[in-house]
Amino acid sequence: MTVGTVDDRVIKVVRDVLEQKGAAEQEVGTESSLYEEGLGFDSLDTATLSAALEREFGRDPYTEGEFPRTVGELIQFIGAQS
Amino acid sequence: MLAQVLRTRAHDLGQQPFLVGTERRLTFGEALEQSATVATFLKRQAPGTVFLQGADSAHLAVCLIACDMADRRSCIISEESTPAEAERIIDNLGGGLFVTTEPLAQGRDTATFQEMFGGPRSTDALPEESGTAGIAILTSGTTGAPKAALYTWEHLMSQARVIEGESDAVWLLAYPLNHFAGLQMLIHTLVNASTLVLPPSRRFGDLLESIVEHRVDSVSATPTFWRNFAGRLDVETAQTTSIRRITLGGEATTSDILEHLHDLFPDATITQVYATTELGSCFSVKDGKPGFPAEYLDRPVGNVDLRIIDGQLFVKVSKGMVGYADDSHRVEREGDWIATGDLVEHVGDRVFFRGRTTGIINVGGVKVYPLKVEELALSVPGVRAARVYGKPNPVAGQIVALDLEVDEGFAADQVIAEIRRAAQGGLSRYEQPRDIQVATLETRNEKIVRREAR
Repeated sequence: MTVGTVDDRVIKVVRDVLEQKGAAEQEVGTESSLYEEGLGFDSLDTATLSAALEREFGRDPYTEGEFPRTVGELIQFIGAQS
Repeated sequence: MLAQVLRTRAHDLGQQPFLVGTERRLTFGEALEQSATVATFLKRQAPGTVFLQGADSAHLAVCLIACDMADRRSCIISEESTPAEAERIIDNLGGGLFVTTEPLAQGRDTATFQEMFGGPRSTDALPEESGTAGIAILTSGTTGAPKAALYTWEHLMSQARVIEGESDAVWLLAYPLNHFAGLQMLIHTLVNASTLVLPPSRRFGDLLESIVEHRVDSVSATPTFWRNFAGRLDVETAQTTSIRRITLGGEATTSDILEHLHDLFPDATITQVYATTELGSCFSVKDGKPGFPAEYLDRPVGNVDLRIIDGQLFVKVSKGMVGYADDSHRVEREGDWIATGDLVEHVGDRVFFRGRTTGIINVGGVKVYPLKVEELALSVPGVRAARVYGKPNPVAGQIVALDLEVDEGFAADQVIAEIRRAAQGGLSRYEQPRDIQVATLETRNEKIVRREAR
């Protein structure tokens, strides 16, 4: 696992997924929407995000039936259990 | 046969909407006119398969009907296929006319959709009887060579039934038309004179807008589609739609998505359909539970008989695929029983789906063959060994996972970055590995197994 705050680590995971989809230049903040109105994640990108969060934190919201809409909601989910 | 049905619908219901999209809205009568125009164009070309790539769904649907009118086999090539892949597909099927949105370079018979739709309609009557050329539906190839399952329209339409009241239905096309399920939607709406709504894309906003604007009441899609679509819906928004009928298929349905759909659409009927490209539609389940009732093993159900052999589901069907274009790809059989490749478990009064027999990965309803991905990974400098497998994923059902050993002298992160670059150039998005880990691999019984992660 990487060192840093939960916010930093979640944002890094999101940036890694963006880089994989060729959108590394996108700005990412806690207010960023994950899907087409924001970062443009489709189902495959979201699946990648789910796997990356699980690898980084040992859990992810999607496995637990949640569907966060923003980076902030991702951080909230991860932070609630840390 | 497709064209014959459209002629009948156009005669009886010429002004009724058939194909509805943001760019095009065609009544049955207009669809017939356009099909005849395209068929006239095709009749003036050299015989052979007509390969279609790049048009919107309404134009593709019209082209399929026109090919039937002109007795040409049709084949839709995904927009995601690279030019090299398209060339292989065309060569594998014996060549033919390649129709795209943009004019192509020399060296192959080509045409554009603009030419086909913009041409004159012949004053000569086109044959009243439909052709027998049928359609080639592409499925994933094992090592990169694409497979094509050949169907006549008679076979594909043999399971279609006219259902009372169905002419009022408004269906959303949630599958692309190069998928078996997409074609079944087209056939169903044509046979029943229903309306088929064609969203401009599969983005959530476009889907929701299409559903609300055109008052879609029926949607058939994979569990992955539904998880993503329903995951972004709240109950209030769901109640603004007219959805009253939900169908799931293409991959195993789990209880989480069934429960979620019940919560969002409490008044909707929910049906799970079991079908494969190779075998056609098999049976459906409407009790809202995953898997199927164990009593299906004891009697004919839908279009099939079912049995379990060594933990694998086998079916015996009456209407299915004509054959593969390439004889090296044969469906596994036990006498008349055809192997589905699905592992199942009989528990009490229920049979549950447990995975695949051959390691074929199902990413959101799309089959991915591990060997193809492994070969690509192994072609990257610095990769000593690679193992590709399906990893369970709550969003897509499965994703492609890759474990690899890195040669000495190579930096792991650079090798992984190079694999991702190669994958983006050589694999479809579904095939691209989405979880890559460096591990120590060992060989056991001539198969690479993962020993430990680093």
